[in-house]
Amino acid sequence: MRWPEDWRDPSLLDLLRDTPINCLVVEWDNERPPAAVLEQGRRLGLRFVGHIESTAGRAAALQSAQAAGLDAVALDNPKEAKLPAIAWAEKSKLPWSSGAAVFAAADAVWPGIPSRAGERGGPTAVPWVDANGWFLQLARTLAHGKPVWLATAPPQAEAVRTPRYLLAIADACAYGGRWVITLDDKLRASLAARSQDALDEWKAITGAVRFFETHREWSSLAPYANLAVLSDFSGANEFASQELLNLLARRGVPYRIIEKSRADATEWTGIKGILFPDEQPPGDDLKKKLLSFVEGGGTLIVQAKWPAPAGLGATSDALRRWNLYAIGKGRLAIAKDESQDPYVVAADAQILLSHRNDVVRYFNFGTMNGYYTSAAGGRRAVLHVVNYTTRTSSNPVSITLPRRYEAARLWRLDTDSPAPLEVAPAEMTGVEIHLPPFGVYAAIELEAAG
Amino acid sequence: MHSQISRRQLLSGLGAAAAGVALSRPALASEAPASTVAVAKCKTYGSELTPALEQMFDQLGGLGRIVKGKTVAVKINMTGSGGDRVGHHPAALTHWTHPRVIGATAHLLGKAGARRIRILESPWQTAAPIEEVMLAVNWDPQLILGAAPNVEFENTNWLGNAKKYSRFYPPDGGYMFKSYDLNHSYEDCDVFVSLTKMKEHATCGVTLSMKNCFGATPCTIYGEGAGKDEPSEFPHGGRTPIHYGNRNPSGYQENDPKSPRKGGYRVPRVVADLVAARPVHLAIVEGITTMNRGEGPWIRGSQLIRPGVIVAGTNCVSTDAVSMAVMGFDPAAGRGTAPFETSDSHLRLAAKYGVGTYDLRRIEVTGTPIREARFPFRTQPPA
Repeated sequence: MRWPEDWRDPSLLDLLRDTPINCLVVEWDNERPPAAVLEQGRRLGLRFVGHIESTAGRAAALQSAQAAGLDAVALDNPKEAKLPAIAWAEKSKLPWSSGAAVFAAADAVWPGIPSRAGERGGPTAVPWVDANGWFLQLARTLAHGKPVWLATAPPQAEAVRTPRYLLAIADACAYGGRWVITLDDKLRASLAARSQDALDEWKAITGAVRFFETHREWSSLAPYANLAVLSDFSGANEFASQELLNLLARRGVPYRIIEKSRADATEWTGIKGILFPDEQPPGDDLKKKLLSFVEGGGTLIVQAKWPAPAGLGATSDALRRWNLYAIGKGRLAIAKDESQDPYVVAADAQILLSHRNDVVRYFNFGTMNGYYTSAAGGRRAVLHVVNYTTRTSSNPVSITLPRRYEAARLWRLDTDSPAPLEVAPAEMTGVEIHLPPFGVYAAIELEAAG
Repeated sequence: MHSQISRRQLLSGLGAAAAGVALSRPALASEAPASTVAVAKCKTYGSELTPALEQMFDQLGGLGRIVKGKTVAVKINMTGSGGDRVGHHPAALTHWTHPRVIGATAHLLGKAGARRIRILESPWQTAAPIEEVMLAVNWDPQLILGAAPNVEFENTNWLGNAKKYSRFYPPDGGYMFKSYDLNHSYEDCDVFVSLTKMKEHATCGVTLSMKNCFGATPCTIYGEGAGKDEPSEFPHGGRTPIHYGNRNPSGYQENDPKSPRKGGYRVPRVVADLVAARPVHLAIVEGITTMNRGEGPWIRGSQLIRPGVIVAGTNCVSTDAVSMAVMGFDPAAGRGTAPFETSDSHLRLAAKYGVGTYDLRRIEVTGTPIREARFPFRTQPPA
């Protein structure tokens, strides 16, 4: 949690008793917390991270953090610190190779449907949704599995109700990240005044945190998908590749992320399609591996600068945006235009791979994102659903899964135990599950036969 | 195969005009042509479906005389996004033509000697192959493609495989637009079938075999993302230019820019224009299961209902009239009377063109009498 700068009274730490919150981020540039707060916090078993944003006077700030006995510091360049350091920076500036213990994105979005809402979003005709799941999936890959935090603050200009806090928690935790709880002005003041309404809100917020702590093991499950996005996700490719991840998620297309420099070391089992959105073709080794993937039956989707295979004629896809080459048992799809809109690429990828290969289909899902994860071996899966309107939908969600699960249980933030879900045969193949109404978040635990 | 010129003239009435024959427009329903409409009870999409349809087609005089040796285009109804449902119900049960009805119809068309069967639809915001749209909602397109020899799909929400759109002319310069540009498939056919779901419609009162043809208009021209002067390459958005007149379709000027900017005025007129310009030879309205209150899951409070009925005829106005009667409505209703509380009646507008009659006294109903098939949409409880 981000300890509010104006909470100078150590008795406010009592708000954290019996909650799962065990770490406080304190601002260390200017208004540092009183020593009494640090002492009382340590007595309660809390750890303190000093956030140092300013570069001016940094050395002194780092020294005083050490002298104050802080457990860690958070700053944009972890290598400057002698204490354990959290890399805390804008997403595009996070130093993934720095060896930091934790990575915190300072410019994560406040999740939800933006306030210009009510309008249908552009290309998808469903509402625009600000969500961090795609980033967390990417960050966890780039961070080699280290913890990733979202350091986003709620808007101060409007009243933030409890469901928006629950959404911020779910939007992060569903994807294996954590939101650094930050209070809006109104809740901060009300909690400090110990108003009953604020205490009730706080109970709901910390209850949601406890839910995800109880199910921490879910974070160890890997994304279940047969489409992979392979890129360096940086430099000239940063915008297009990352926007692609966002838009695929909005289209309900699960994916795995392969960072280009680690492509050789990454297991490609179960992948049927690879999207390589980088402008320039890869080096020879990776190119060879990708073409071997195609020869074995995969679909590789690349940008226009990829050289056409010599001696092979091209056919066109149905939308005439891609040149298709049959190579071995698979296909190589090369974009015809040099600058493809990531929305178009996301939509076309689904068609090029064919809906026949969908691993999940969602219905009445317009304001939601799903994150489908599976244990090794595939007998157990957890499908997270995050609802960005925070309101129960008037048309309930149905999910179709080609995998033949036998049992399913539904977890919600407001229940201590799961409810069984009926698993019915789907129309063509697989199973269909109908969800009862839920608010911000639901998780479906699935079990397949042995 | 008809020559393009003669088919175009037939569709536009230019042939008659060129011959100096003034086209007379019957002003009353009593003057528009009447034909037989078949009604059948059919409770499920199972084994009773194909025999029920076959019997209906026999009652209409048989399909062979209509389709033998012909290319048949079948416009189905897959309105809205496949990702939206009424409750948990798949779209096929509530607001899309059911795939088994499509397959059974294709099978019977093939059995009657149709040379080629092309299934058409303009799915929401996409030019993707129809097969993919079907797969995305758990359908198996092969069940339709394999229902008869030479069955194919075409997405008509864009230009598709043709080099240009086909232009269709409603009579008398049209109610809304002088002409309509549609995907070539609506011209490259000898027989046009409208195969749809029996539903009410929030803008148009009802959506039956005639309103189904509204979806023939490609959003590359008639959509909110269409190019200003030229069609866009791909469809974006819905048909708000028609509904609300907030802009013109690509390269078009509507007949009366001062006409109301209300869907209840504009959409019925476009529907009437379309069925007059692109005649429907066989209209099939399936209401085995459907939804109440409107045309898609975006209608709040809508629920699955089970009328258990199919209506078919060789005249779309008459078929829709009988369908309306089965739904508990008066097909002669005008604006202000259910189901046309907020819209003009496209049945009346089409009848004025002489497309067909909605006067039940002039329509021979064969099969199940209307009174036995009646399922009042507004008062029957949901399933």
